Amino acid sequence: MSKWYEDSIIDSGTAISSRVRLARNLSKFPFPLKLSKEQGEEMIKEVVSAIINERTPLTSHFKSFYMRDLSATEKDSLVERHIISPEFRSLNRPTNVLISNDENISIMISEEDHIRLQSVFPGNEIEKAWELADNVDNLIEETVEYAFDNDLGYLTSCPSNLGTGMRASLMLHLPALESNNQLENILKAVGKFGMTIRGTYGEGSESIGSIYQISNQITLGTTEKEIINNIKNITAQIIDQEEKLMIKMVKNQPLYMEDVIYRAYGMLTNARALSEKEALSFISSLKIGYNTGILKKQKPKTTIYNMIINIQPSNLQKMYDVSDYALLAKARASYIRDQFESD
Amino acid sequence: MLCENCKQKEAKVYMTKVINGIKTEMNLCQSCASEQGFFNASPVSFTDFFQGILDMTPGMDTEFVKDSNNSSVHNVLKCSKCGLTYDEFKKTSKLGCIECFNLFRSNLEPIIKSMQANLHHTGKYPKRLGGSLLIKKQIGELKRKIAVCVQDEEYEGAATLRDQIRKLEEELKNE
Repeated sequence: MSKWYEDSIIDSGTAISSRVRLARNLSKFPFPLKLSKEQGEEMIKEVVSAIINERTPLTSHFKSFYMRDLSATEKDSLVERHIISPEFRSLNRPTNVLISNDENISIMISEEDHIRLQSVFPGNEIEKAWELADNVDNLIEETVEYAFDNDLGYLTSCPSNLGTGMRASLMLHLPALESNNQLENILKAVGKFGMTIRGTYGEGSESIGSIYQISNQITLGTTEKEIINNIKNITAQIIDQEEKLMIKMVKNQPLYMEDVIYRAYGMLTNARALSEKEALSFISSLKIGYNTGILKKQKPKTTIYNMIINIQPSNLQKMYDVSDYALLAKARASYIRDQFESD
Repeated sequence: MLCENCKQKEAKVYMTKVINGIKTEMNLCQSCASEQGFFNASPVSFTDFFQGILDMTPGMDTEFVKDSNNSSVHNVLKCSKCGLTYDEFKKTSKLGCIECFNLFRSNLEPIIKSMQANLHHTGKYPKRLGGSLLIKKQIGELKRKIAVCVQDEEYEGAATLRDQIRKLEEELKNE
Protein backbone atom coordinates (compact mmCIF):
# COMPACT_ATOMS: atom_id res chain seq x y z
CA MET A 1 0.00 0.00 0.00
CA SER A 2 1.46 3.38 -0.93
CA LYS A 3 1.81 6.10 1.67
CA TRP A 4 0.04 9.40 1.13
CA TYR A 5 3.25 11.32 0.58
CA GLU A 6 4.22 9.02 -2.28
CA ASP A 7 1.22 10.38 -4.18
CA SER A 8 2.64 12.55 -6.97
CA ILE A 9 0.14 15.40 -6.80
CA ILE A 10 2.07 17.01 -3.97
CA ASP A 11 4.54 18.53 -6.35
CA SER A 12 2.20 20.89 -8.16
CA GLY A 13 2.03 24.01 -6.12
CA THR A 14 2.65 25.81 -2.91
CA ALA A 15 0.61 23.69 -0.51
CA ILE A 16 2.54 20.56 0.37
CA SER A 17 0.12 18.99 2.86
CA SER A 18 -3.04 19.66 4.86
CA ARG A 19 -3.64 18.46 8.41
CA VAL A 20 -6.46 18.45 10.93
CA ARG A 21 -5.81 17.47 14.54
CA LEU A 22 -8.54 16.86 17.12
CA ALA A 23 -7.90 16.70 20.87
CA ARG A 24 -10.23 14.52 22.94
CA ASN A 25 -10.35 13.10 26.48
CA LEU A 26 -12.37 10.30 28.01
CA SER A 27 -14.60 11.54 30.83
CA LYS A 28 -13.97 8.65 33.23
CA PHE A 29 -10.18 9.04 33.58
CA PRO A 30 -8.02 11.93 34.79
CA PHE A 31 -6.11 13.59 31.97
CA PRO A 32 -2.67 12.19 31.07
CA LEU A 33 -0.80 14.47 33.46
CA LYS A 34 -2.68 13.00 36.42
CA LEU A 35 -3.21 9.48 35.15
CA SER A 36 -1.75 6.60 37.17
CA LYS A 37 0.17 3.92 35.30
CA GLU A 38 -2.67 1.40 35.73
CA GLN A 39 -5.32 3.88 34.64
CA GLY A 40 -3.14 4.77 31.65
CA GLU A 41 -2.96 1.14 30.52
CA GLU A 42 -6.70 0.75 30.97
CA MET A 43 -7.42 3.91 29.02
CA ILE A 44 -5.17 2.83 26.16
CA LYS A 45 -6.94 -0.53 25.90
CA GLU A 46 -10.30 1.22 25.69
CA VAL A 47 -9.27 3.60 22.95
CA VAL A 48 -7.47 0.93 20.91
CA SER A 49 -10.50 -1.36 21.06
CA ALA A 50 -12.69 1.47 19.82
CA ILE A 51 -10.80 1.27 16.52
CA ILE A 52 -9.53 -2.30 16.46
CA ASN A 53 -12.44 -4.65 17.09
CA GLU A 54 -14.70 -7.10 15.27
CA ARG A 55 -17.44 -4.61 14.51
CA THR A 56 -15.86 -1.82 12.50
CA PRO A 57 -14.88 -2.14 8.84
CA LEU A 58 -11.87 0.16 9.48
CA THR A 59 -10.16 -2.33 11.81
CA SER A 60 -8.01 -3.96 9.14
CA HIS A 61 -6.72 -0.55 8.09
CA PHE A 62 -5.08 0.26 11.41
CA LYS A 63 -2.08 -0.96 13.38
CA SER A 64 -1.51 -0.32 17.07
CA PHE A 65 1.95 0.29 18.56
CA TYR A 66 2.94 0.70 22.17
CA MET A 67 5.72 3.27 22.14
CA ARG A 68 7.70 1.19 24.63
CA ASP A 69 7.91 -1.60 22.04
CA LEU A 70 9.53 0.61 19.43
CA SER A 71 13.27 1.24 19.02
CA ALA A 72 14.70 4.75 19.23
CA THR A 73 15.14 4.81 15.46
CA GLU A 74 11.58 3.71 14.82
CA LYS A 75 10.31 6.43 17.19
CA ASP A 76 12.46 9.09 15.52
CA SER A 77 11.25 7.94 12.15
CA LEU A 78 7.62 8.42 13.27
CA VAL A 79 8.48 11.98 14.26
CA GLU A 80 10.17 12.62 10.92
CA ARG A 81 7.12 11.32 9.06
CA HIS A 82 4.95 13.70 11.15
CA ILE A 83 3.00 10.76 12.54
CA ILE A 84 3.77 11.63 16.16
CA SER A 85 4.92 14.83 17.82
CA PRO A 86 8.46 15.20 19.23
CA GLU A 87 6.92 15.69 22.71
CA PHE A 88 5.07 12.36 22.45
CA ARG A 89 8.25 10.57 21.44
CA SER A 90 9.98 11.47 24.71
CA LEU A 91 7.16 10.68 27.18
CA ASN A 92 7.83 8.23 30.00
CA ARG A 93 4.27 7.20 30.76
CA PRO A 94 2.40 4.39 28.93
CA THR A 95 1.62 5.59 25.41
CA ASN A 96 0.30 4.06 22.24
CA VAL A 97 -0.15 5.17 18.66
CA LEU A 98 -2.71 3.90 16.15
CA ILE A 99 -1.65 4.36 12.54
CA SER A 100 -3.68 3.74 9.40
CA ASN A 101 -1.88 1.73 6.72
CA ASP A 102 -1.73 4.65 4.30
CA GLU A 103 -0.59 6.89 7.18
CA ASN A 104 -3.42 9.36 6.51
CA ILE A 105 -4.64 8.90 10.08
CA SER A 106 -2.67 8.65 13.29
CA ILE A 107 -4.04 8.60 16.81
CA MET A 108 -1.63 9.41 19.65
CA ILE A 109 -2.91 7.99 22.92
CA SER A 110 -1.83 9.74 26.12
CA GLU A 111 0.01 12.71 24.71
CA GLU A 112 -1.12 15.96 26.35
CA ASP A 113 -4.69 14.65 26.04
CA HIS A 114 -5.95 11.08 25.98
CA ILE A 115 -6.57 11.21 22.26
CA ARG A 116 -4.78 13.32 19.64
CA LEU A 117 -6.35 12.34 16.34
CA GLN A 118 -4.59 13.53 13.23
CA SER A 119 -5.64 13.38 9.58
CA VAL A 120 -3.16 14.34 6.82
CA PHE A 121 -3.66 14.74 3.08
CA PRO A 122 -1.25 15.72 0.30
CA GLY A 123 -1.65 19.16 -1.27
CA ASN A 124 -4.40 21.64 -0.56
CA GLU A 125 -7.13 19.40 0.88
CA ILE A 126 -8.02 20.75 4.29
CA GLU A 127 -11.71 19.92 3.88
CA LYS A 128 -10.96 16.28 3.10
CA ALA A 129 -8.65 16.15 6.12
CA TRP A 130 -11.47 17.48 8.32
CA GLU A 131 -14.07 15.07 6.91
CA LEU A 132 -11.86 12.08 7.62
CA ALA A 133 -10.95 13.29 11.11
CA ASP A 134 -14.63 13.93 11.83
CA ASN A 135 -15.57 10.39 10.77
CA VAL A 136 -12.86 8.69 12.79
CA ASP A 137 -13.82 10.88 15.78
CA ASN A 138 -17.42 9.65 15.48
CA LEU A 139 -16.21 6.07 15.22
CA ILE A 140 -14.18 6.30 18.44
CA GLU A 141 -17.11 7.92 20.18
CA GLU A 142 -19.34 4.93 19.48
CA THR A 143 -17.38 3.07 22.12
CA VAL A 144 -16.02 5.65 24.55
CA GLU A 145 -17.54 8.63 26.32
CA TYR A 146 -15.83 11.97 25.77
CA ALA A 147 -15.26 14.69 28.36
CA PHE A 148 -17.50 17.50 27.18
CA ASP A 149 -19.03 20.65 28.68
CA ASN A 150 -21.98 22.61 27.32
CA ASP A 151 -20.09 25.89 27.56
CA LEU A 152 -16.47 24.91 27.12
CA GLY A 153 -16.98 22.18 24.52
CA TYR A 154 -14.55 19.26 24.38
CA LEU A 155 -12.51 19.40 27.58
CA THR A 156 -8.77 19.38 27.11
CA SER A 157 -5.75 19.49 29.36
CA CYS A 158 -4.65 22.87 28.06
CA PRO A 159 -7.18 25.74 27.85
CA SER A 160 -5.77 26.63 24.41
CA ASN A 161 -7.44 23.51 22.94
CA LEU A 162 -10.91 23.79 24.48
CA GLY A 163 -14.12 23.86 22.46
CA THR A 164 -13.56 22.21 19.09
CA GLY A 165 -10.19 20.82 20.14
CA MET A 166 -9.25 21.37 16.54
CA ARG A 167 -5.98 22.53 15.06
CA ALA A 168 -6.12 22.84 11.28
CA SER A 169 -2.85 23.49 9.48
CA LEU A 170 -1.27 23.56 6.05
CA MET A 171 2.36 23.09 5.10
CA LEU A 172 3.33 25.70 2.54
CA HIS A 173 6.45 26.18 0.40
CA LEU A 174 7.07 29.96 0.36
CA PRO A 175 10.47 30.71 -1.17
CA ALA A 176 9.43 33.93 -2.95
CA LEU A 177 7.74 35.50 0.07
CA GLU A 178 10.66 34.43 2.24
CA SER A 179 13.41 35.85 0.06
CA ASN A 180 11.51 39.11 -0.33
CA ASN A 181 11.16 39.44 3.44
CA GLN A 182 7.38 39.37 3.24
CA LEU A 183 6.84 36.79 5.95
CA GLU A 184 6.81 39.33 8.76
CA ASN A 185 3.83 41.03 7.07
CA ILE A 186 2.11 37.71 6.47
CA LEU A 187 2.55 36.84 10.13
CA LYS A 188 0.90 40.09 11.24
CA ALA A 189 -1.93 39.71 8.74
CA VAL A 190 -2.83 36.13 9.64
CA GLY A 191 -2.59 37.00 13.33
CA LYS A 192 -5.58 39.29 12.92
CA PHE A 193 -7.62 36.24 11.86
CA GLY A 194 -6.64 34.15 14.85
CA MET A 195 -3.95 32.24 12.94
CA THR A 196 -0.24 31.84 13.14
CA ILE A 197 2.53 30.89 10.72
CA ARG A 198 5.90 29.38 11.63
CA GLY A 199 8.85 27.58 10.03
CA THR A 200 8.48 23.80 9.90
CA TYR A 201 12.14 22.80 9.96
CA GLY A 202 14.57 24.77 12.05
CA GLU A 203 14.39 26.52 15.39
CA GLY A 204 11.59 28.97 16.24
CA SER A 205 10.67 31.12 13.30
CA GLU A 206 13.66 30.05 11.24
CA SER A 207 12.80 27.91 8.29
CA ILE A 208 14.99 25.57 6.31
CA GLY A 209 13.87 24.76 2.79
CA SER A 210 11.36 27.66 2.86
CA ILE A 211 8.69 25.41 4.34
CA TYR A 212 6.16 27.03 6.68
CA GLN A 213 3.10 25.90 8.57
CA ILE A 214 -0.03 28.00 8.96
CA SER A 215 -2.53 27.03 11.66
CA ASN A 216 -5.47 28.39 13.63
CA GLN A 217 -4.95 29.46 17.22
CA ILE A 218 -8.55 29.84 18.35
CA THR A 219 -10.47 26.67 19.10
CA LEU A 220 -13.36 27.83 21.32
CA GLY A 221 -16.22 30.08 20.28
CA THR A 222 -15.96 29.17 16.61
CA THR A 223 -17.31 26.21 14.68
CA GLU A 224 -15.17 23.63 12.90
CA LYS A 225 -16.57 24.80 9.57
CA GLU A 226 -15.57 28.39 10.34
CA ILE A 227 -12.01 27.34 11.19
CA ILE A 228 -11.76 25.36 7.94
CA ASN A 229 -13.18 28.19 5.83
CA ASN A 230 -10.93 30.76 7.44
CA ILE A 231 -7.77 28.79 6.89
CA LYS A 232 -8.80 27.92 3.34
CA ASN A 233 -9.38 31.56 2.43
CA ILE A 234 -6.26 32.90 4.04
CA THR A 235 -4.11 30.13 2.56
CA ALA A 236 -5.55 30.86 -0.88
CA GLN A 237 -4.45 34.47 -0.53
CA ILE A 238 -0.97 33.53 0.64
CA ILE A 239 -0.58 31.05 -2.22
CA ASP A 240 -1.73 33.68 -4.67
CA GLN A 241 0.81 36.18 -3.37
CA GLU A 242 3.60 33.60 -3.39
CA GLU A 243 2.93 32.55 -6.96
CA LYS A 244 2.63 36.12 -8.25
CA LEU A 245 5.86 37.09 -6.51
CA MET A 246 7.66 34.06 -7.93
CA ILE A 247 6.59 34.96 -11.45
CA LYS A 248 7.88 38.48 -10.86
CA MET A 249 11.21 37.19 -9.55
CA VAL A 250 11.68 34.99 -12.60
CA LYS A 251 10.84 37.91 -14.90
CA ASN A 252 13.16 40.34 -13.13
CA GLN A 253 16.12 38.08 -12.49
CA PRO A 254 15.99 35.25 -15.02
CA LEU A 255 19.72 34.48 -14.93
CA TYR A 256 19.93 34.51 -11.16
CA MET A 257 16.93 32.21 -10.80
CA GLU A 258 18.14 29.83 -13.48
CA ASP A 259 21.59 29.71 -11.89
CA VAL A 260 20.27 28.97 -8.37
CA ILE A 261 18.02 26.23 -9.72
CA TYR A 262 20.60 24.54 -11.92
CA ARG A 263 23.28 24.74 -9.22
CA ALA A 264 20.88 23.01 -6.86
CA TYR A 265 20.19 20.35 -9.48
CA GLY A 266 23.92 19.93 -10.02
CA MET A 267 24.59 19.46 -6.33
CA LEU A 268 21.74 17.05 -5.78
CA THR A 269 22.76 14.85 -8.68
CA ASN A 270 26.50 14.92 -7.97
CA ALA A 271 27.39 15.60 -4.35
CA ARG A 272 28.91 12.73 -2.37
CA ALA A 273 27.94 14.13 1.04
CA LEU A 274 25.08 16.46 1.99
CA SER A 275 23.95 17.84 5.33
CA GLU A 276 20.22 17.95 6.07
CA LYS A 277 20.19 21.73 5.88
CA GLU A 278 21.97 21.82 2.50
CA ALA A 279 19.78 19.10 1.05
CA LEU A 280 16.55 20.83 2.13
CA SER A 281 17.72 24.09 0.67
CA PHE A 282 18.63 22.52 -2.68
CA ILE A 283 15.40 20.55 -2.79
CA SER A 284 13.51 23.81 -2.28
CA SER A 285 15.25 25.28 -5.36
CA LEU A 286 14.60 22.08 -7.27
CA LYS A 287 10.87 22.41 -6.55
CA ILE A 288 10.93 25.99 -7.78
CA GLY A 289 12.67 24.77 -10.92
CA TYR A 290 9.95 22.27 -11.73
CA ASN A 291 7.05 24.51 -10.72
CA THR A 292 8.23 27.42 -12.88
CA GLY A 293 9.26 25.18 -15.76
CA ILE A 294 12.79 26.56 -15.66
CA LEU A 295 14.35 23.20 -14.86
CA LYS A 296 14.18 21.15 -18.01
CA LYS A 297 15.51 17.95 -16.50
CA GLN A 298 13.87 14.65 -15.66
CA LYS A 299 11.95 14.68 -12.38
CA PRO A 300 13.16 12.47 -9.55
CA LYS A 301 11.65 8.99 -9.19
CA THR A 302 9.88 9.90 -5.98
CA THR A 303 7.92 12.97 -4.86
CA ILE A 304 9.64 16.03 -3.45
CA TYR A 305 7.88 15.55 -0.13
CA ASN A 306 8.98 11.94 0.07
CA MET A 307 12.55 13.09 -0.47
CA ILE A 308 12.23 15.65 2.32
CA ILE A 309 11.06 12.91 4.68
CA ASN A 310 13.63 10.31 3.67
CA ILE A 311 16.71 12.52 3.98
CA GLN A 312 16.12 12.92 7.69
CA PRO A 313 18.43 10.97 10.02
CA SER A 314 16.22 8.13 11.26
CA ASN A 315 14.73 7.38 7.92
CA LEU A 316 18.17 7.27 6.34
CA GLN A 317 19.29 4.97 9.10
CA LYS A 318 16.40 2.62 8.37
CA MET A 319 17.31 2.52 4.70
CA TYR A 320 21.10 2.38 4.89
CA ASP A 321 21.72 1.12 8.41
CA VAL A 322 24.09 3.97 9.36
CA SER A 323 24.12 6.34 12.31
CA ASP A 324 27.53 7.99 12.29
CA TYR A 325 27.13 11.63 11.22
CA ALA A 326 29.62 11.48 8.37
CA LEU A 327 28.08 8.28 7.05
CA LEU A 328 24.63 9.87 7.26
CA ALA A 329 25.76 12.72 5.00
CA LYS A 330 27.10 10.15 2.54
CA ALA A 331 23.89 8.07 2.68
CA ARG A 332 21.82 11.19 2.17
CA ALA A 333 23.69 12.18 -0.97
CA SER A 334 23.55 8.59 -2.19
CA TYR A 335 19.78 8.37 -1.67
CA ILE A 336 19.21 11.63 -3.54
CA ARG A 337 21.44 10.66 -6.49
CA ASP A 338 19.50 7.41 -6.71
CA GLN A 339 16.26 9.32 -7.23
CA PHE A 340 17.66 10.84 -10.42
CA GLU A 341 19.19 7.67 -11.77
CA SER A 342 17.24 6.10 -14.58
CA ASP A 343 16.81 2.38 -13.95
CA MET B 1 -3.11 31.45 70.98
CA LEU B 2 -2.53 27.69 70.69
CA CYS B 3 -2.67 25.72 67.42
CA GLU B 4 -6.19 24.44 66.80
CA ASN B 5 -4.82 21.17 65.44
CA CYS B 6 -2.22 19.91 67.90
CA LYS B 7 -3.20 22.23 70.72
CA GLN B 8 0.43 22.29 71.85
CA LYS B 9 2.49 24.78 69.85
CA GLU B 10 1.70 28.41 69.35
CA ALA B 11 -0.44 29.28 66.34
CA LYS B 12 1.57 31.29 63.83
CA VAL B 13 -0.30 30.55 60.59
CA TYR B 14 -3.72 32.13 60.18
CA MET B 15 -5.79 30.49 57.45
CA THR B 16 -9.04 31.83 55.98
CA LYS B 17 -11.03 29.62 53.60
CA VAL B 18 -13.78 31.13 51.43
CA ILE B 19 -15.71 28.53 49.44
CA ASN B 20 -19.03 29.39 47.80
CA GLY B 21 -19.22 32.42 50.03
CA ILE B 22 -18.85 30.44 53.23
CA LYS B 23 -15.91 31.52 55.36
CA THR B 24 -14.01 29.25 57.73
CA GLU B 25 -10.96 30.21 59.75
CA MET B 26 -8.21 28.09 61.24
CA ASN B 27 -5.18 28.99 63.32
CA LEU B 28 -2.28 26.54 63.08
CA CYS B 29 1.31 26.22 64.22
CA GLN B 30 3.99 26.04 61.53
CA SER B 31 4.47 22.25 61.75
CA CYS B 32 0.76 21.48 61.48
CA ALA B 33 0.44 24.03 58.72
CA SER B 34 3.28 22.49 56.69
CA GLU B 35 1.84 19.03 57.36
CA GLN B 36 -1.38 20.20 55.79
CA GLY B 37 0.59 21.47 52.86
CA PHE B 38 1.09 25.16 53.60
CA PHE B 39 4.60 26.47 52.97
CA ASN B 40 6.77 28.85 54.86
CA ALA B 41 7.19 32.38 53.61
CA SER B 42 9.58 32.66 50.66
CA PRO B 43 10.89 35.72 48.85
CA VAL B 44 8.38 37.10 46.36
CA SER B 45 9.61 36.73 42.79
CA PHE B 46 8.45 38.77 39.83
CA THR B 47 6.33 35.80 38.63
CA ASP B 48 4.73 35.46 42.05
CA PHE B 49 3.85 39.14 41.97
CA PHE B 50 2.17 38.89 38.59
CA GLN B 51 0.45 35.64 39.41
CA GLY B 52 -0.73 37.30 42.58
CA ILE B 53 -2.27 40.09 40.55
CA LEU B 54 -3.95 37.54 38.28
CA ASP B 55 -5.29 35.93 41.41
CA MET B 56 -7.07 39.06 42.53
CA THR B 57 -9.97 38.58 40.16
CA PRO B 58 -13.50 38.74 41.58
CA GLY B 59 -15.66 35.70 42.15
CA MET B 60 -12.82 33.41 43.04
CA ASP B 61 -12.73 30.73 45.67
CA THR B 62 -9.43 31.21 47.39
CA GLU B 63 -7.69 29.94 50.40
CA PHE B 64 -5.43 32.58 51.84
CA VAL B 65 -2.62 31.54 54.09
CA LYS B 66 -0.70 34.20 56.01
CA ASP B 67 1.94 33.58 58.60
CA SER B 68 2.64 35.84 61.58
CA ASN B 69 4.71 38.17 59.39
CA ASN B 70 1.64 38.66 57.18
CA SER B 71 3.74 38.05 54.07
CA SER B 72 3.47 34.88 51.95
CA VAL B 73 0.15 34.19 50.29
CA HIS B 74 -0.62 30.74 48.83
CA ASN B 75 -3.59 29.28 47.06
CA VAL B 76 -4.28 25.68 48.08
CA LEU B 77 -7.38 24.57 46.25
CA LYS B 78 -7.10 20.89 45.37
CA CYS B 79 -9.19 18.74 43.03
CA SER B 80 -10.93 15.87 44.82
CA LYS B 81 -10.85 13.61 41.77
CA CYS B 82 -7.29 13.94 40.49
CA GLY B 83 -5.45 15.85 43.19
CA LEU B 84 -4.39 18.79 41.04
CA THR B 85 -3.60 21.82 43.17
CA TYR B 86 -4.00 25.42 42.10
CA ASP B 87 -0.24 25.89 42.36
CA GLU B 88 0.32 22.98 39.97
CA PHE B 89 -2.22 24.44 37.60
CA LYS B 90 -0.52 27.82 37.65
CA LYS B 91 2.91 26.27 37.06
CA THR B 92 1.91 23.96 34.22
CA SER B 93 -1.19 25.83 32.97
CA LYS B 94 -2.82 22.42 32.44
CA LEU B 95 -5.94 20.87 33.99
CA GLY B 96 -6.00 17.38 35.50
CA CYS B 97 -9.51 16.04 34.91
CA ILE B 98 -13.10 17.06 34.20
CA GLU B 99 -13.69 17.92 37.87
CA CYS B 100 -10.93 20.53 37.71
CA PHE B 101 -13.09 22.57 35.37
CA ASN B 102 -15.72 22.96 38.07
CA LEU B 103 -13.23 23.67 40.83
CA PHE B 104 -11.10 26.18 38.96
CA ARG B 105 -13.88 27.63 36.80
CA SER B 106 -13.62 31.21 38.00
CA ASN B 107 -9.82 31.17 37.70
CA LEU B 108 -10.07 29.78 34.19
CA GLU B 109 -12.55 32.23 32.77
CA PRO B 110 -10.27 35.27 32.45
CA ILE B 111 -7.52 33.06 30.98
CA ILE B 112 -9.87 31.50 28.44
CA LYS B 113 -11.34 34.88 27.52
CA SER B 114 -7.90 36.20 26.67
CA MET B 115 -6.85 33.25 24.48
CA GLN B 116 -10.09 32.25 22.80
CA ALA B 117 -12.95 33.89 20.86
CA ASN B 118 -15.44 33.67 23.71
CA LEU B 119 -16.60 31.39 26.51
CA HIS B 120 -19.24 29.49 24.62
CA HIS B 121 -18.73 26.45 22.41
CA THR B 122 -20.56 26.70 19.07
CA GLY B 123 -19.08 23.71 17.25
CA LYS B 124 -19.51 19.95 17.17
CA TYR B 125 -21.33 18.06 19.92
CA PRO B 126 -20.48 14.45 20.71
CA LYS B 127 -23.27 12.22 19.38
CA ARG B 128 -23.66 10.40 22.69
CA LEU B 129 -24.17 13.45 24.82
CA GLY B 130 -26.05 14.92 21.86
CA GLY B 131 -29.51 13.95 22.97
CA SER B 132 -30.92 16.61 25.23
CA LEU B 133 -27.92 18.94 25.00
CA LEU B 134 -28.25 19.14 21.24
CA ILE B 135 -32.00 19.71 21.42
CA LYS B 136 -31.55 22.51 23.96
CA LYS B 137 -28.98 24.10 21.67
CA GLN B 138 -31.38 23.88 18.70
CA ILE B 139 -34.16 25.44 20.78
CA GLY B 140 -31.85 28.28 21.73
CA GLU B 141 -31.02 28.96 18.09
CA LEU B 142 -34.66 28.91 17.05
CA LYS B 143 -35.54 31.35 19.82
CA ARG B 144 -32.87 33.73 18.52
CA LYS B 145 -34.33 33.40 15.03
CA ILE B 146 -37.81 34.20 16.36
CA ALA B 147 -36.51 37.41 17.89
CA VAL B 148 -35.17 38.45 14.50
CA CYS B 149 -38.45 37.58 12.76
CA VAL B 150 -40.46 39.58 15.26
CA GLN B 151 -38.13 42.52 14.81
CA ASP B 152 -38.64 42.37 11.05
CA GLU B 153 -42.38 41.87 11.58
CA GLU B 154 -42.24 38.48 9.85
CA TYR B 155 -45.00 37.02 12.01
CA GLU B 156 -45.70 34.03 9.79
CA GLY B 157 -42.10 32.98 9.94
CA ALA B 158 -42.12 33.44 13.69
CA ALA B 159 -45.19 31.22 14.00
CA THR B 160 -43.50 28.42 12.04
CA LEU B 161 -40.44 28.68 14.25
CA ARG B 162 -42.62 28.63 17.35
CA ASP B 163 -44.18 25.35 16.19
CA GLN B 164 -40.71 23.91 15.62
CA ILE B 165 -39.73 24.90 19.14
CA ARG B 166 -42.85 23.25 20.57
CA LYS B 167 -41.97 20.02 18.74
CA LEU B 168 -38.43 20.06 20.09
CA GLU B 169 -39.65 20.76 23.62
CA GLU B 170 -41.87 17.67 23.36
CA GLU B 171 -38.84 15.65 22.27
CA LEU B 172 -36.93 17.01 25.25
CA LYS B 173 -39.62 15.84 27.65
CA ASN B 174 -39.44 12.36 26.18
CA GLU B 175 -35.62 12.15 26.44
